[in-house]
This record gives sequence, structure tokens and C-alpha cells, in this order.
Amino acid sequence: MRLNIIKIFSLLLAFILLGACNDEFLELDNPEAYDENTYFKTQDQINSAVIGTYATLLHRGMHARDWYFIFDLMGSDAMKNTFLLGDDAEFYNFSFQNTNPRLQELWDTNYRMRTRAVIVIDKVDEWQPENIEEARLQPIYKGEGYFMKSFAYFNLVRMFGAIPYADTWNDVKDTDNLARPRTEESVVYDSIIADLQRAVERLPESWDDANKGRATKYSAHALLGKVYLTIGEYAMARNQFMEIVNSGRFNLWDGTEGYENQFTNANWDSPETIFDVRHNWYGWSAGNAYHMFGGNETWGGRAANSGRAMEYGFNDWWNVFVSSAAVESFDYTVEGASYMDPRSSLVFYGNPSEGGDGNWAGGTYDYRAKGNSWKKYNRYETIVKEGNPTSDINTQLIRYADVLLMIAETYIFQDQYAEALPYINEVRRRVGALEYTTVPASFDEAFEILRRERRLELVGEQHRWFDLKRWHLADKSSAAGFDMVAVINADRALDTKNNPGDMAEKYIYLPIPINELQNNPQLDNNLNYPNWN
Amino acid sequence: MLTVVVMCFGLLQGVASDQALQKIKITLSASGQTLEEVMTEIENQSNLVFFFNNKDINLKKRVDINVNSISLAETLNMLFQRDNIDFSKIGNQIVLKKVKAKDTPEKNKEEVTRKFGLQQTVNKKDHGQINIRYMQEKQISGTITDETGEGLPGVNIVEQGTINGTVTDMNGDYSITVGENAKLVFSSVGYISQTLDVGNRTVIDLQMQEDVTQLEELVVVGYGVVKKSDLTGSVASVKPEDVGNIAVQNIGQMIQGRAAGVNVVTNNGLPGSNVKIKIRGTGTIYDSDPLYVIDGMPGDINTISPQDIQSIEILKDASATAIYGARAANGVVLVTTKRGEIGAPRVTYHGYYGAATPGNKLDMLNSAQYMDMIKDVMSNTGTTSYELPPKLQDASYVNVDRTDWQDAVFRRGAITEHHLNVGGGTETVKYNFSTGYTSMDANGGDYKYERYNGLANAEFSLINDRLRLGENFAIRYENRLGNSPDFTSALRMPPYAPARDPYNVGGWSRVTSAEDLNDAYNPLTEIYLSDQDDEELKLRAQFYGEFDIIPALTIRTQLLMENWWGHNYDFNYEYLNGNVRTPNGLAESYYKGFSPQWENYITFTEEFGVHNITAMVGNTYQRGGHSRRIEVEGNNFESTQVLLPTFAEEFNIKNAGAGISAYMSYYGRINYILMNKYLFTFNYRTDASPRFAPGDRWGSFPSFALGWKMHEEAFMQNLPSLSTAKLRVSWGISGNDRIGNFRYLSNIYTGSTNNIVYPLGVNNEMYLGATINALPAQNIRWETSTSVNAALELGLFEDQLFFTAEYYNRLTDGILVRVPIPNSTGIDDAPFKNAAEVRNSGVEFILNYQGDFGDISYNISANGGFNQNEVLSLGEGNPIPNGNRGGIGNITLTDVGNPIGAFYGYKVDRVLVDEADAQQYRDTYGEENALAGDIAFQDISGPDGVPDGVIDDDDKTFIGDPNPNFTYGMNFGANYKNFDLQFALTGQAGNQIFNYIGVYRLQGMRRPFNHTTEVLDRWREDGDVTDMPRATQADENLNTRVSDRYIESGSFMRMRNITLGYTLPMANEGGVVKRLRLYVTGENLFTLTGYSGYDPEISAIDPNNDQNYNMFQGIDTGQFPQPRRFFAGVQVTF
Repeated sequence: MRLNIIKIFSLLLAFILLGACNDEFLELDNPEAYDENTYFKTQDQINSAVIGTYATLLHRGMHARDWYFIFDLMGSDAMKNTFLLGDDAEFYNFSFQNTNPRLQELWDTNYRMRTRAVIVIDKVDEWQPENIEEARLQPIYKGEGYFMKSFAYFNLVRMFGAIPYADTWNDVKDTDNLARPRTEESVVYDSIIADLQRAVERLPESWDDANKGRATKYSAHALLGKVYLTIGEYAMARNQFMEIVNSGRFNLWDGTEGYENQFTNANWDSPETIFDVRHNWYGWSAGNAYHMFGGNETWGGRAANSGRAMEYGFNDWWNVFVSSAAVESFDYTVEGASYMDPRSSLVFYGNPSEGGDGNWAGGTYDYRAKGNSWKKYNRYETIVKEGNPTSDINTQLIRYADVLLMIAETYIFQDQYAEALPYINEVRRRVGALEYTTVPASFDEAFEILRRERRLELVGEQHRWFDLKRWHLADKSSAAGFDMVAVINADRALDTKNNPGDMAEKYIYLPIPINELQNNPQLDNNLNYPNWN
Repeated sequence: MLTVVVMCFGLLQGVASDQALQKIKITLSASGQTLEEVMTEIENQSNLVFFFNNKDINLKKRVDINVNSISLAETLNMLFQRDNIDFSKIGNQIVLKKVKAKDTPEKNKEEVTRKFGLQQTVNKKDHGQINIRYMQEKQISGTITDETGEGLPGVNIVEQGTINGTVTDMNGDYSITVGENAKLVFSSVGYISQTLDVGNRTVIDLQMQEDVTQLEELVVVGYGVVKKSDLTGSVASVKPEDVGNIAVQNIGQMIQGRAAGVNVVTNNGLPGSNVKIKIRGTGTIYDSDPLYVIDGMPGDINTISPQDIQSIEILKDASATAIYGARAANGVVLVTTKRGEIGAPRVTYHGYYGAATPGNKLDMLNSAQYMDMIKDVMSNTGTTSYELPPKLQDASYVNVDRTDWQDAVFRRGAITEHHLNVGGGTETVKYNFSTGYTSMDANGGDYKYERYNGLANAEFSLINDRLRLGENFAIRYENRLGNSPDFTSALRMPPYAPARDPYNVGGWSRVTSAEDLNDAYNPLTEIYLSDQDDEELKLRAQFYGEFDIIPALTIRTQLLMENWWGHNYDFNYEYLNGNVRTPNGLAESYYKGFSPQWENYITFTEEFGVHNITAMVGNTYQRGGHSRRIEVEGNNFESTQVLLPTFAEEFNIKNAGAGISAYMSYYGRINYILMNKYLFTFNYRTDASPRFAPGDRWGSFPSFALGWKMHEEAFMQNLPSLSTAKLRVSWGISGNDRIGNFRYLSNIYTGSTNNIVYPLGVNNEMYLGATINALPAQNIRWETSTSVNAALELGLFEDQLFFTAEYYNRLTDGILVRVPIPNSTGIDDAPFKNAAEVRNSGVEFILNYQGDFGDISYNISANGGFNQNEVLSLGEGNPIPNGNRGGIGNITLTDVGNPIGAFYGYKVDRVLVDEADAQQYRDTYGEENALAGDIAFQDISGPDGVPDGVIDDDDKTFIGDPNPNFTYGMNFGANYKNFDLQFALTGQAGNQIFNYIGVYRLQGMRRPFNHTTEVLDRWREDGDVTDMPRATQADENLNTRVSDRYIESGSFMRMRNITLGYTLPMANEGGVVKRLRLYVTGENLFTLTGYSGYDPEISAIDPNNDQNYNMFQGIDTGQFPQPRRFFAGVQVTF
């Protein structure tokens, strides 16, 4: 009997253990996502990887919201209004620490952009083009990868100095070396230059109508020129810029209307744009208008709108004014005579006697109650209220006027003032500003003209902080004594509304964000300022 | 004696007065007399005469009756009931009448509940002083013994089909007189009932067989049941009786406060909200929920109505959980649904009706105080001469209190439930059907929860009960309607604002930063201008077959199919609120899923002398979660009549998803009991999960346990009052794999909703992007939890007083955690690693006492669990900051040497009294932004671990722990005559709450929003000594940074439930209504707590996010508070 029990038991045991399934039962295919080994095989898939790289331009820290706040406020183009609070206000107050989440996002998003770009560079070679058109596109996509990789690293190195650097996708995903030490600035610049040269070789002169907005050969030339300018290679910079001028493909959008339109949603096809961030609002069904508050690629749906018009707009959230320093800069002396620059009324609403535009779509602008508010990048010429942050005005990153002024800068820093002047005058001519006729007698004189011109032309475009830093660090004996801290603090002294304190010198370098410090034991956080950067 | 034969006594029928028969008392002592003699004696004592038909009554029958002052009715009952003679008093006559036979024994029975909720049936007549015998029939005697041959006292012996019966004495001896062809039924609790033909025997000795299913309380464990006394693992058992059969909203509430070491936190106070159950602390960093098993197969516990639950078992130590191996590291909750029992259909209705009412209110500033604060907020921004907007300058407008926003969002809500159950069975089929409807209004907003439940189970016995086939079928339809208020918004609204504004789009008022400096959202707008309707249908169909190959060997196969379908609907009308305009829009989503599982196991049970062995082996296959989901959205409807997405100006498929999972497992168990004293259990399970790469998929989970029933030892027999003394120890490993699927692959990321986008081209066409956003988790394996458990059980006075104490130590190693990687990788999702190690250790105790006090019987039970949670290692990883909250950043840090998700921040020193004080603070610590009225923080440490004269990140420290050190419950129940009373207390101690809403939102004074009256104490001018800093919008000193300013004690004791019930005495025991109980209940009547917010029972920021729960818990961000509920109910059994 007992034997029988054991027999039956054993039989059943065998049935249970061997009966039904083997390990293949557990082989599941992911029903929701491709994986690295099965993707990147077709043109569409490679193109998606490139689009994913551009998409980071809309992320937090970049141009859906934070970039304009951070650099307009730090560069004293914008001035805090009461409603600007918390993390953003800290940039105006120069009170932010390495814990500031906006700062973290600047860092994170640019590295995200870099990583997506190196994935493109790596994966584009795995794709076997199936026809001539695809074969033509293959190097172009790779060129876009190089361009965006350089763009990210250029942002990072300008903001943070020496930074952790990984060159390729295999480097990035190397799990044994996820924490990387800081790489010297010059080494980072060298690799940016090398990558941009690769981009120049591969990128097209232009894109068809369906793809307008992607990086071109001239985007790469402009960026490369700017990189050279930043490291003081003026001749090399000028060579790059001249490629753009000589191509004949770009020109200033004519007249004050042209200047105005460059910052309206008519700017999607401007002859002046060399590289921009494309914004569009696809409606609530596609995305959430508030995606700039961290909703990119998460809860925000499919949204590419900019918050700027709503954030800056005096009849909407009105978080900032045009800074008093910027307003005052429009009133200056040209060749001995006091002069009100015509761009003032294109840039801000305010007291007409101080250069502001006194009218908007809602009638007369009440400058006594409203102060000087932004007109550039706002839509109050045509609508009275944004209502939601759904601006579709493309953000200008590199435009022709910038290039012309950078050419002037290369000449001035090589003490060729006469050669510089035509480029400055070309920019002034477009808006009908008085042209300079007298060749500056000294570097200081030429530099002042250049500085003023860049401020007036490019105000509110987040260039000034980087301009000041470039000049501050320029290895130019005749520019010795240019102190961005003093310049910024002089600007801030003009703000009687907030009475802000001074900027401390260490803020020249943004602090390495706290999360990076905590998770990267390889970092030396004392290169420029102890416990800061 | 009147012996008139009346052939027609129909005339005399009429009002039968049992009352009179009750009042008359009879004392008789007859032994072998004829019935006629006895009846004559009764006539003498009662002054009544009998009236009957001679055909019906055998007056010569000899009887043996012994009654002492027993009612006439009772006496007659004894004399005549066996002959199916009914009696009634009419005038001075006792009329005897033959009636049709009926199932008389039933009505003399009552159910009593004994210790451990065990139900047994005793016969009221068997109390000794009453005895009736029929002398002309034969007398049977004998001795009943138990399995060991000892005489068994208290065995019921009943002549089948009669009330004639007796009980064995202390020696197991009995004697009974029975009629011709009698059958005797021998029954005793814990033993198998036996029915024997008397035949011509006069002595019947019998050895009773223990009934393993009845001997004592049985405890459901994985793939089987175990006698409670033979348990070797740590298992807590909760039965509906313990909860007083009162209304609970969900299964979690049945457990709350009733199982030691099990902490149940309700997600929020909205009806239909879920609970988080933590067994013995926070076992892992991410999802630490237990595994839920219903009727033997894993599934969604919320499919079952709490009313349909027979018992809940909570497996706590690895010896108990290891049989569920891979998924059991955080404990297992086993739910068993009600079954039918043999008997006529029994219909039970339970219904209640009541109200949920708001709890506490916070003290908010009135309009004048609010305006006063606004001026401070604005003038401290650096703007020396801030001019208020025109609206705020009009004191006659803004100093008027127009709306109490708390009253506006809270309300009294109706709650009701109806539940109907039919159960019964025969020898071959047992069935149980029930249906229920629940409707509960939230005590705020217009939120309503509705639930429909159905349950049907049946079991068929075939081939002489060798083959059993059955099914368990459960269905639940759930509906969540309307909106709950965002009372964070409500609290921020200016008190001068009216609730309505007929001129605003949508009709509700709004405030804006331009006009009011306050852009809080009017909470009523979204409540009343949005139609929300979320519904879900869940089906659970389980089929099983069980076959006894031989009596000792049973094979069972069971198949489960879980199905779910859901639909979420949210339409909002166009409105303007705060600074934002929202167009009308509809968001809808649909989802479905199907998850089949198949299990087979064989069980072998046999006794060889003193050896008792139960062995089980089995397997499980699950190919689950075939789920799909789609979300659509439409916006800008021209008219709101037809609300289909396609009628909107813009519509879109917003998102879609799909899922799949699988499991494959083999398991076995041996239970060995030696001499009913020494208990040994061995479990082994091996599981494969596709969440790991091929090669790393299999995990093994063994456990051992030993038990020693000391009270069975001879040397304990001289301690007669000690009824139970048992020791048990266990060791075991269980696992966890909850990391989501396909983490070992480098997945392509296309955004959470396929929404990586960039516009290109002259038409701004949308292009979709893709990339890699996560590194694959390489070489990861199961997370394992190793636990040891030791327990002592003591029972005194027949277990009237019962005490259990347990110690456990649970070490979770190889915790699957995303070790943060540098952000400079540009990769957002860190790969999972088996990095961390966490220990939970503690002691638990349970104390039960049941006693009597006169007519009062009562039961007191108390349980408590101390737990210490500590992260022992994070592998190569850094501390994990988490709990990010807008405005102040990360609140928690999970670091070695501290509990999971501990609060981490600065410590407040003081509020700077004046400029001199501030100057000194600035000079000492370089805190340039500190002004008088700002908070001075403590310099606790520096880079070298000592205070360094700088207030920076090094000064952050652990400031609180959301994990309670002690959780406890106390339950009291008492019965007095027909009244019953229960109350239940639960509580926790030693944890802290991070009061984000109370401090940042309501005391922060950074924004011109309304605040609590605490801010009236704010610093205003030099010399003010206070702990409330100045109002400052810029807050350049970061007074609102994460600090111990937010920390409050989270200890509380809550009166969870008080119920008073009354069971109506049934006038006619044979009536339609068998039992009728009425009760009233109050829930959450009071909470003893020092916490200043609405409710100290704080869940987490996003309680439904399992991945982040443990590092987000204990942070009060405005979870909806628990309501106070009052209701009255009725339970009827037909």
C-alpha cells in the first residue's frame, strides 16, 4: 500500500514538473516599445532619432521656458516684476545655489541633447540605405548629430567651464564609467570644433519646405564661428562667418517691420534666421499649453509652444519688465549728438518720451501703471491677451544680424575698426538707425560701439550674458579691465523698483548642480571657485 | 382527568395562548409511570384539563420525566413533541393535536460564538436538568473515546429525527433510551460526526475521529489549511465576526488595527479609495505592497466585497510566505470568500444608511487679517512703496468676509449599502450567491462612489465525494462620479471673494494676480464645471477540480481568469479661473485586460503512528496582463449637446499602451508533526520571471520552521491553568521582482505618450522623435528577503486569556533600486541594480481576553507591533533624494543608517529678533540674505563633519521619520442579553509628518494667498520674539527651505469604530425571520493627535504610485481627510 502511494505520488510529481511548459513560456515581446537592437534600421527610425535630438530644445531648462528667464535676468535685459517668484527670481537676485532646479534642468537638458545626438551619430551607420535618396540623407543625419552634440557642449562649456565629457554613445553607456571627471575647457572646445567641422562637411545648404528648421551647413558655420570667437580665434571665426555672408542665402529682413517680424510668428520663413527653435501650438487635444512646467515628453502631450509671450506679457503673467538699464541704453550719443534708437519702440511698451511704444492692440499703453514691458516676442500688436502660454513665435538662436555683429567683433578685436564699421552699419541701416561715419579712434571706442550695438539689436535674445562673459575672459590686452561683474552691477543699480543687491563674482561660472555633485564622485568642484564650480 | 374523545375539535381552534402555558410552572418527578399518570399530575398542578383525540395519544406509554419548576409549555414540549403533538391553551383546556412532522430539532438550536470565532452548535436541551425518556423503548449505553482512547466528555448523542438526546459525562460515558429502529448521531466539535444504526445493540462504544477541518480553528495558508495550533509560521487571522460584521469600505479596513505588525493606511478620505498595507515595516525601497491571494489564486483584492469575506489571513514571516516565493517578500494577504453550508437556503440581508460628515476645520485668516498680511508680503519684496491694485485699495470691498471656502467645499454626504446573500447546500452541492450595492458620497465636492458586487460559488461532490468540482465567480462594477475638491486651492482663496460671479465664463468667481495679487484657483469651478465618470468592470472566474486518488492523496487543478474593462470620462466646460482660460474639452480612455493562470498541486496526508505528514507539490503558470489602453481627447466643442470626441473642433488619440507578463513556478511543502508536539515545516519554491534577462530568471525560495507544543508535554500537565504553551521559530527567504517588464533591454523611448515632438517645415508639421532614455539593467536578479521569526504563545484558563509575542528580523538584500547615475550621462532613467539592503526588525504582541460579568460576556483584544527600519547599504550608490515638492525641492533622503524615505533638511535655530541679531547671523555664517524676521538655521556640520561657520548643504540632517515605530490596535466587544457593543481603536506612534501644506502653503507667506491664523504671530518689527518668520515674497533667506519647521509628530490614536447592536428576540422561532439585528455605528468619532492638519493618517504625495510611495510617504500635501461617518443598519436572516 505504501509503495503504491509513493508510486502514484511520483507519477503525479513527474506530471507536474514536466507536464506543461518550458522556459520559452517566458519569452515575451515588449508590446509597447522597440529596443536598441531592433530599432534604427530604417530612414524613418533614424530621422526619429534626429527629431528626438531637436526636441530637447523645447525641454525645461531650454526654450519652452527657462532659458529666456535665466539669461535675460542674469544678463540684465529683463528685470523682475513682483510676480516673478521662487526659482526663477533667484536668477535675478543672484541668490541661486547649486540646488536651484532650473539650473539643474539647464545641465540635464543639454546633456540629454548631447546623448541623443551621439546616439544619432552612432546608429546612423547601422542603417542600410535602400535607395539613392536615403544614401544622400545618411551623412546629413550624421551631420545633424554632430551639430546638436556641439551645440549642447558649447552651451555647457560656456555656462559651467570644464565639464564631464563623453565623446560617443559607447562612452556614454559604458556602465563602468558613468561618472566622468571634468575635461579641460580647451579640450572640450577642440572637440566641439572638430565635430562642427564634420557637421559642415555633411549638412546641406538648405532644406526643403517640409524640413525647414533643421540645421544647415550655415548653422554649423555660424556656430563654429561663434566657438572660434569665444576662444579668441578671430580670423578663424571670421572665415566661418564669411561663408554665410558669401553664400548670398541670408539677408536682414528689411525695415523696422522686418525687425519686428523677426520676433512674431511670421518668422518661420525669415531670410535672416540661421538657426532657431521652432514653436507651434497644436491645440489642447494634442498637448498641454503648460508643458513648459516640466511636461515635455511626460504629461504635457505633444506640445511645442513657448511660454515666453505669456510669461513676459504685461496683460498676462507679467513676470518681468524690460530692465531699466536696457531701456536707458536706447538713448545714447552718436557722434556727439543725443540719439533715441528707433529699435526702442520695437522692443518695449513704455513711455514714448523714453522710447517706448505707447500703443498696443488694447489701445493706449498705460506706462505709468505698467512701466516698461516687453513688446519683442509678444503679440500685443494683434491680440490683447494671451490667456494661455501658447506662443508659436520661433526663438531666434543665430540670426544674420548676430553674425554681422560677430564679424565686426572679429575685426575690432584685431584692431581693424574701419573694417568693422560697415557690418555694424548694415545692422543699423535696416531699422533706420543713424549710421556711424567716423572710424573709432581706439579699441575702447570701437568696443563700446560694438557692445551697445549687440545690446540694442539682440536685447531679449539671451546673448548678453554670454557676450559679457566672452569679453570678460577674452585674452585681449587692450580689453583688460573689462569686468562683467561691474557692468552687471552698474545695470542693477538702475533698478529702483527691486533694489537688487550685487552679483557676486563667482556667478560668472554657474555652479555645478547638486544632483551631479551627489552622483558623480569624479567631480572636482573647486576649479574656478571653491565649493561652487 | 378528562378523557373525552372529541372527533371534531375544529371549533375549538382559535387563539392559542402560549403565554399562559409559559407562566405555569410544573414540578414533576416520574420514573416509569404511564403518560396518563403524568398528565393527571399536570392537571392537578395547573388546574387545567387535557383535551385530545385518543388516536393521537398513547396514554399507556411509560415515561421518565424530571422537571423542577419548568414552564408547562416546556414540560408539554418534552412530553409530546416527539410524537408531533402540538398543544395550546383554550379556556381552561390544554388542547392536544397531531400535526405533520417537522424538523423540530432545528428550532431548539442557537448558534453561539466561541473563542476564536469558532462556530459550533449546541443543543439547549442538553444542559442536564431536563431529561425525558420513553420507557417502553430500549436503553443504550456506552463509552465514547477519542483517538487516544481517552474518554471524551461532552459528546452530543441524539436520536436521529428527534430531540431525544444526551451528552457524555466526564468519563465519556452515556446512556440513552431510544425507540425502535433508532439511529444515533454522535457529534462533538472537532470530531467527525457519526451516525450509527442501533439495531439490537444495547452497548455502543465509539472512538471518535478527529476532524481536521473542525477540531479547532483552521488557518488558510498557501495551497492548504493548517490547524491553528499546528502553525509554525507567523499568520494573523481576521474574520468578519471580529469586526462585528459591520460595514467596512474595503478589505484594508477590516485588517486595520486587528493584526499585529500590519499597518494599514488609507490613501485618502474619499469613498472607494484604496489602502496601503505594510506588513512588518517597509521591506523594500519601491513597491512594498503584499501579495494578494483570493481563494487560492493571486488577484485584485478589490474585486471582492468585504461582505463576502469568510476570513483574511496575513502571512508575515518567510516560513509562511516562502510558498509564494518570488512575489511574497512583503507578506501575503489571503482572502477566503464565503461558502455555502449544508442546509436549507439561508437568505441574509444587510443594509445601512448614514452620512459622512466633514472633520476638523483649519483656522484661516479673515478678510481684514488677510489684507493685513498681503500688505506685508508685498512690502517685504524689496519694493519699498508698493502700491496695491485698485481693487485691493477698496477697504469696503476687501475687508468683508464673503466666503468660508472650507464650508464651500466640504459637505455632508449620504452613504448606503445593500447586500443580499443566499447560501445553502446538500450532500452533493453547496452554493453561495450574493449581490451588493454600495453608494457613498464624499464629504466634499460632488464626488460619489458606487459599487455593484456579485459573487457566485458552487461546489459539486461526485463519486462519493472523491471528486469535487467547483467555481468561484466574482464580478464588480465600480463607478466614480464627480469631483472631489482641491481644498489646497480652497484654503488659498481670499476670504473676500464671492463663490459665484455671473459675469465670469462658467459662472464661478475667480481671482487674478493682476487684480487680486492672488491667482488661486476657485475650487468650485472644477467641481461644478467638470463631469467626471470613471467606471470599471472586473470579472474573476475561478474553476477547480479536486480528486482524491486515494483518501490520502488529493490532486487539485485550478484555473483563474481575471478580466477587466474600464472607461474614464472627463468633460469640462469652458471657464476662466485664476489667470488661466480653459477651453471645453473631453478626455476619455478605454482599457481592458485579461490574465489567465493555471495551477496544479497534489497533497498527501497520512498518519503513521505518532507521525503526521502532509506533503504538497505543485506548479503555476501565469501568462497575464494582456492589457491594452487608449486615450482620446477632444477640445473646443461648438455645443455641449453631443459630447463625442469626433464632434470637437480638435480631436486626437492622446496615448495608447499595452502590457503583458508571465510567471512560471514550482513549489512544495512538507509538514511533519511528531506526537502532536513537535512541528516541522519545510517549504521550497522556485519561480521564473521574465523581468530578468534569460539566465537570471529563476529564483529559489526555501524556508524552515519548527514548533513545539510544550503544553502537550507531561511535565507541563501539573500546570492546569496553562492551556497553551507553544514555541515556534522559523527561517526563510522570499523574493521580489517588481521593477516592471523588459528592464534588461535597452528600450527605445518615444516619450510617455509617444510625444517626443518637434515642429518642422513651412507648415510647422509635427514630427515624432525617438531615442534611448534608459540604460539596460544588466545582471540583475531577484531581490531576496531573509527573515527569522521566533514566537511564544501562551494560553491560560482554557485559552480564555491568550498571549502571543513574536520577534522578527527581516533582511532584504539585493534590493532592486535605481541607483542614481550622474545627470551628465544625459540618461534620465538609471538602471535597476541589486544594490540596497534594508533591515526591518521588531516585536509584536497580541493579547486576548474573554470573560463574563453577570449577563455580560465580553472580549478584549489588543495588539501592537514595534518595528525598526534601517537602510544597511546602498551598494555603490549614493543616498537617494526623493519626495520632490514644488518650491522646496527634495524632502526625503534614503541613506545608510536611516529609515527609508526619512525627512532630510535644516534645523531651525530661531527667528532673528532684530537687525542687530540678523547682522550677527550674517557676519557669523555669511548668510548674506538674512534680515530681521528671517529664520536662522543651525550650523550643524561642515565638509569635515564639524560645524564650519557656513550654513550650507552640509548642515542638512535627518529631521524625521515617516515610518511609525509602533502600530497598535485595540478591540472591545461585549454582549448583554440582546445588546452587543463593539469598539475599535487604532493608532501609531513614533513617526513624523512633513506638513507641507500647513507650513509651505499656509504659513509660507511667500505668495499672496490666504494662510492660517498661525501667521498672525509672524515677525513684524524689531524686537518681536516669535517662531513665525516675517512675510516675504522673495524669501531670499529661504525661510521655507526644507527644515524641521515642517516636522510634526505623526502619532495618533483613533476611535475607528463604535457599534451598538440589538438583536430582536424572535417571538416565533419558526417564523420567516430567523434573526434580526439593528445597529448604529459611528466612525472616526475622535482622534487623539497633536497634528495640526486635517488628519494625521497621511499616505504619500501620490499614493497610487507604488514605485515612489515609500520615499514620498508621510508628506501632507493636502490629501483628502477621512470623514466622520454615522450610520444605522439592519441585518436580517430568513
